[in-house]
Amino acid sequence: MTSLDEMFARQAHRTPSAPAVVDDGGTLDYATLDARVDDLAGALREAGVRADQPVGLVLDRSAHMVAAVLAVLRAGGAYVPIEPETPAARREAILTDAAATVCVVGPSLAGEVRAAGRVAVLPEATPTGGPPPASTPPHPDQLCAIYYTSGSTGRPKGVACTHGGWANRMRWMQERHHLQPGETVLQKTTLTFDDAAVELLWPLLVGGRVAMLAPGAHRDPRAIIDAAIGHEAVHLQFVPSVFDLFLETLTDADVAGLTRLRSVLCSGEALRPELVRRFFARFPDGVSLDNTWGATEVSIDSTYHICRPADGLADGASVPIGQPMTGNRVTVRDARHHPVRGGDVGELCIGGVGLARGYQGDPRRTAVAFVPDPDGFGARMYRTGDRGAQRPDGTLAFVDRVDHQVKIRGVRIELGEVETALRGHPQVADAVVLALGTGTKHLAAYLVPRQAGRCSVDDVRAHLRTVLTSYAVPTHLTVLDRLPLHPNGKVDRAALAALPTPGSDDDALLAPRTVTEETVAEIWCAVLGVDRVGVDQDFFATGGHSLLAVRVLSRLRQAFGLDIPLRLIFDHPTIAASAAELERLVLADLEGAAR
Amino acid sequence: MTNETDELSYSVVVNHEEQYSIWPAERPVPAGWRAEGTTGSREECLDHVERVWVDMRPASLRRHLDGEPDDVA
Repeated sequence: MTSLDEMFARQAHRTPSAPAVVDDGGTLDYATLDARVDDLAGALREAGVRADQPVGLVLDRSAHMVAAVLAVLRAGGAYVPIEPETPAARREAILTDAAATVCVVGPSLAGEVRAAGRVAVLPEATPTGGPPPASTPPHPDQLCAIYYTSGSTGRPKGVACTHGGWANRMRWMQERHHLQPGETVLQKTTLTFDDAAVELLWPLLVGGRVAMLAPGAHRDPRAIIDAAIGHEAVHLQFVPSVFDLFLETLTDADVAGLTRLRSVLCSGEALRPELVRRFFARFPDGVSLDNTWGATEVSIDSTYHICRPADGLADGASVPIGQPMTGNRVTVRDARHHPVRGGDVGELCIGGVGLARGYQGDPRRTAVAFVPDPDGFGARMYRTGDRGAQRPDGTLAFVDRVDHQVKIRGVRIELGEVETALRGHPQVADAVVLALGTGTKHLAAYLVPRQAGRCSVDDVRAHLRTVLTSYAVPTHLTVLDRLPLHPNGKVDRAALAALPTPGSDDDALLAPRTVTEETVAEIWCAVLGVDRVGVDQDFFATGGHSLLAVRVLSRLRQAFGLDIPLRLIFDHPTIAASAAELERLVLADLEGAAR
Repeated sequence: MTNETDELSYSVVVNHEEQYSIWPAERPVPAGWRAEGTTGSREECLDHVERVWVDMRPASLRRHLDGEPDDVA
């Protein structure tokens, strides 16, 4: 068994001058990247990083980020990815939970990290004293990364991933897709999603080239398509909600331009047959579509289904999740872990080499989720919390969840975590959170204030933004005098779901005042699925989220015939502000044309 | 899944890697695991696991890493 860094180092030795990573700053070949990794790994060892030790990694997507991931591994540590835009309180909570005393961080956040008592190492760092002390090659059970996911009690869970599990996942990728030296994979997924590790590590272990999508551009399907064409990507990965936008945005010219594309992988949430149908309409042959399923707790993915056109015509909410990847074992079990036979529905449990060590520093949760696997001697299996069934032909199908975990645009959210965060606000006495909508879901929160009439929705929302990941901040907040209850005292969730959306019946909405505002308002209403929006209302407080912002943007681009940056809606989140900025852009465009 | 509530009985079990878990008390302990001695409600078992499972590294890894030279400069 070989560790991830050893696999990369061997590849660098085999193909030193082949391109390894390309970003806006240029291309690094394998030898240069390997030397960069050596330097930073030396600096990390000097900073005290040792085997199995978590190291914070707070960097935007770039060649630096790739080098930092590999350097943490070479130093023997495990990287803990955190997005630079994460609220400081949440960032600190994660670093504290992981006990990460050293962080690789850009200059802008280095001061903050040091002020919290941690060692900040810049990505350009080199060791100060002679050659760095060598570290023992990592053991397969040693940690390579800690990935934080939502936890139902409000405390995030750090999944402690291992070299052996991830190396197996990367090897499967190569068995299935045979990436050739020099071929490119687009690194478009944010590093805090474990799928990003596949885009980043798999190519570098086998001589491929990783092309880094610009920071922030992962929300923009146009930018993803342009990058895939420009870098001649052969492989792309999506969560289904972004895959939907990708297919929606794709033009005939784009399909013709994706000359090298061979494989697309969808994972993270249930893949709807409709998306498969649209994929095959665009790519009738020559490009494969895999639906993969699994969990961070078992090395990213554990099963795969190679989609066929017939999957697009099938009934049902989602296409099959298929069969286990090499080294994985999936069984369907009841609550006492007896196997369920004959195609009945039960909890999907995964055993095999992919298992994580558990939840970092959390023996209690680990003992609940990682239980003895009766099919292996002294082995464990992970209870996924996903319910599914085995079909007569042996393929597995996902059915639903056993608990209150939901997926919002592919991100795991425990409703309990959001409820705990809401109750943490001094004005809130009680709260219930629901995931509403079919297809793409959104979160709706229902609050009972401590004192009637003394609860500011804006204050509560601002509080949530400081403690939760952006996906977990509910789209709608409704204040109630009390929660509706069933006769047995349990909250009547159906009654909550039937309440009207807040603000929808408000007569005080400010109407559009200019032609530009009218145009923007029409587009917002169509995308948000509402009749009216006030021109001073915040897009993200009226049902909007980043994927809908992309839809608004593509319609604005058509309506105004301009290349409008995606930042527009994030920087100018009201109709009035967006309209003013659009008028400025139109004028600048006209002046540019006249010159 | 930590919000599961059930009235059934569990045993604390441990394997050769000194990894702990809980297992339905009425079922035979799977091969390669042994009952560690604690049986009771789910919460009682988990309280015990939390007390005894201090080093979550598998035993073979612990032995491997203890062999690593402590090369602090």
